[in-house]
Amino acid sequence: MKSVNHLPLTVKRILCPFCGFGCELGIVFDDFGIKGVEYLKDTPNQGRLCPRGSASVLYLNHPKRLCVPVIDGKYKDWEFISQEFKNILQEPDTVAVTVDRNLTIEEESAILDFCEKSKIKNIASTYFEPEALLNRFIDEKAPAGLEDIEKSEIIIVFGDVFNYAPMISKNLINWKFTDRKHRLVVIDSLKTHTSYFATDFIMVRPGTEALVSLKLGGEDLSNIKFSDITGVSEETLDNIGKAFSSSQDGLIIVSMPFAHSYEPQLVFEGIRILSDKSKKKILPIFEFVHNNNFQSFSKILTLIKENKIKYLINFGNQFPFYYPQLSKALSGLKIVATSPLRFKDYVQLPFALNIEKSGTILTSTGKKPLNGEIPPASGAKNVFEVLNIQGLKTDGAKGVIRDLKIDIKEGIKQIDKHTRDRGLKLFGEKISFYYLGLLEKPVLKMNPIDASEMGIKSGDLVNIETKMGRTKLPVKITNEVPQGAVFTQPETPEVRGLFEYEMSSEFLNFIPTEVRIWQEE
Amino acid sequence: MARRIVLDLDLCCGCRSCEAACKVAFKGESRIRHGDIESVAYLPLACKHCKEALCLVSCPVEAITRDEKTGLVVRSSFKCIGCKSCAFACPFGVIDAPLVRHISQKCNLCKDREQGPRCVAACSSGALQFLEEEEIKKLEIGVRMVSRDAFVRRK
Repeated sequence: MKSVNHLPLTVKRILCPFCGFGCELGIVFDDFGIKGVEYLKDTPNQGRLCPRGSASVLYLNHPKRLCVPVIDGKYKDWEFISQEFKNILQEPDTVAVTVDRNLTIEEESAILDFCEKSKIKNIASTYFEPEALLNRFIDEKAPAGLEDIEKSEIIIVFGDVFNYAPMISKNLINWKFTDRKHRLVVIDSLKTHTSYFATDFIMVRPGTEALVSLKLGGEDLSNIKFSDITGVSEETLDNIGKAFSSSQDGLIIVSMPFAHSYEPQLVFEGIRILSDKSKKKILPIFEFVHNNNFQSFSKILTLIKENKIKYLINFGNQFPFYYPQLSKALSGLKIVATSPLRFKDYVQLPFALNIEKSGTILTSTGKKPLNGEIPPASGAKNVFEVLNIQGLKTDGAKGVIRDLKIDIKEGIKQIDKHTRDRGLKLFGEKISFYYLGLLEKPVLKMNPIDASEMGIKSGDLVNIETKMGRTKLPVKITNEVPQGAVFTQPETPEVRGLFEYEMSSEFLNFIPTEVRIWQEE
Repeated sequence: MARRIVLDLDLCCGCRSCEAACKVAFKGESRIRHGDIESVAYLPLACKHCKEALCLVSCPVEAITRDEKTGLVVRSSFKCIGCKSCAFACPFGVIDAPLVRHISQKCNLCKDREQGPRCVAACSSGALQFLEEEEIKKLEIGVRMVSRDAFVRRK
C-alpha cells in the first residue's frame, strides 16, 4: 500500500515584533504558505511565548488583510494614490504627517527625512498609549535586562506585568522563590496575577499611581491630603522608599496601560526621580516604542480646529480607526492612513507588519534587528515603498529624542481635581490574551457591591455610556476591582472610543472617564 | 514510558499562553481550558488521559478510544457526531461544550509534534511541564491542587 508523506515544512526564525520584549520564534511554512508557530528551544526565551506570540500567525493570515489601496470603500491602484500624494504635497503647510506604531527605526527616520524634503512642518505622534513615553528609560549603553532581576534584593513593579508581558513571569517568580529575603512590591489599582505574587501589594485608589510614584521618589506632597486621595499610608511608602534606596541591588519594572491612570507621565517622572536618587535601573515594558519622540498630537489638533490643516497622512496601523472619539475633530480632513487591516472609511494604504519587514526595532533591552524572513502579504508595502512612489530618497535623517517638560505641580492639581469627583469611573487595563480577540472579547469588570446596587449579574450584557460614546459589554463581577471603578480592556475601537482625552501642549492623554451603566429591561 | 502534562501551581501566572498556543494550532479550538477560582488559583486544565476515562465510556459511537501503545485517550473526528456526551461526562471539565466544528475537542498531547505538546512549549512561566509518570511521582507536582497565595504555595 502506498503511503503519503507529510508536506515538507520550513521553519523561519524571527524576532517577535508584537511587544518590546524581544522574544524569538519560528514560523512554519508548508507548500501552501504559513502553517503555524514553532516554539524554538534554542532561543533566549527558550521557546516560551505569550499569547501575542502564538497569535502572530493569525495576524499574518488575517482575513481582513488589505491588499490594494481603498478610497471610500472602493479599490484603487497605486498610481492613483501617487497622483493624490502629488496633489496633497502642493500645499505642504496644510499637511500634517503623523506616526503611530508598527514602524521600524529606519522607517521613522525615513518619514522625518521625507517631511524635511517636502517642507512639511507638522509632524506628530498619534501613539497615545502612555508606554510610548517609556523610551526615555531605555539606556542604549547599559539597558536593564533579565539578569538585573536575578541580582536584585527588592523589585518595585508598577502595573500588571504578568498579564502585560507574561514572558517576564518565569524570571520574576523564580527570583522571588530563590530567597525569602527577596521583596516584590507591586503597585496597582486592582488585584492582578502579579499582585498575588507580591510580598507587598499596594492597592492605590484607581488612577492615582502618579502620586505614589512621586512619593516614592521623595517628592514633597504635603500640600495635598495624600492618604485620602491615594488610600495608601505615607509611612508604608516611606518604608518601601528607604528599603529600596538602601538595598544593594534593586530594579523598577513599569508597565502602564491605556487610560489606567491620570497623568501617566507623572508616574514615569516619579520613577525617574526614584531611579536617579537610588541609582537603580528601570526595565520599561511596552508593546511598541518610538525611537524618535515626535511632537504631541495636541498641537496638530489645535491647528485642525483652527482650520489650518486640510490633509493628514498617518503611518502605522491604528490611527484614526482606533479613536472614534477624535472623529468629530478630524471630520473636515482628508485622511490618508496606512493599515495592515481593512477598516471602514478613509483612504487606506495596505501596510506590512513589522514581522514582514527588515530593519531595527527598539525593545526593552535595547535595539534588535528584524531579519525580513517573512515575505509581506500580497500588496502590502512598507514606508520606504510607500514614499518611493514620489521619487524621494529616504535614507539619512536621524531623529532627536525630545526633552519632555513636565510640570509636576500642575499635574498633582489635575489628579486632585479628578479624584474629588466620586462618580463611577471607567478605567483601562491591558491583558495579553484579549489581543485580537484571540481568547476572549473585552468584558466590563465590576465590584460585587456596585453590581448588586445596579441589579446586574455576572454575564449580563450592559449598556455603557460616556461623554465620548456608547457600547455594550458583558459584565464580569469580581472582587479584584475596587468599588466606584469599573475596568475594561481597550482592545477594540468601540471600547477605546469610550475614553475622554485631555490636551496639554506636551501630551494628549486618554484618561479614566465618568461612565453610566444600565441594563435594558 | 507514558508522558503527561502536569501543572506546577506555584509558577502559573495566568497569562493563558497555553490556551492561545492550542487555539492557534487547532483552528480556533482550544483543547486546554482554564478554571478561575477568584483570589485563590488559576488552573489551566489539560486532559489527564484518565485510566478509567469517563469520556470514553460515555461516547455512544465509540469515537473515543484508547491507544494501547501510548495509553492516550484519542478521538476520531470521522466517527464523532458532536453529541457532547464526553463534555458532560468529563469530571474535570476539560472538554469544551460549545463545539466549534460540531465535533468534540479532545487533547491528543500534540501527537503531530515530536517535541511534545505546544501548550507546554509556550508556557511563559514554565508552570506546565511534560513529564514521565515516574518523574511526576518523585517531584510531588500535582499533589497540591489548590493553593491560596504565593506564600502558602511555597514549598
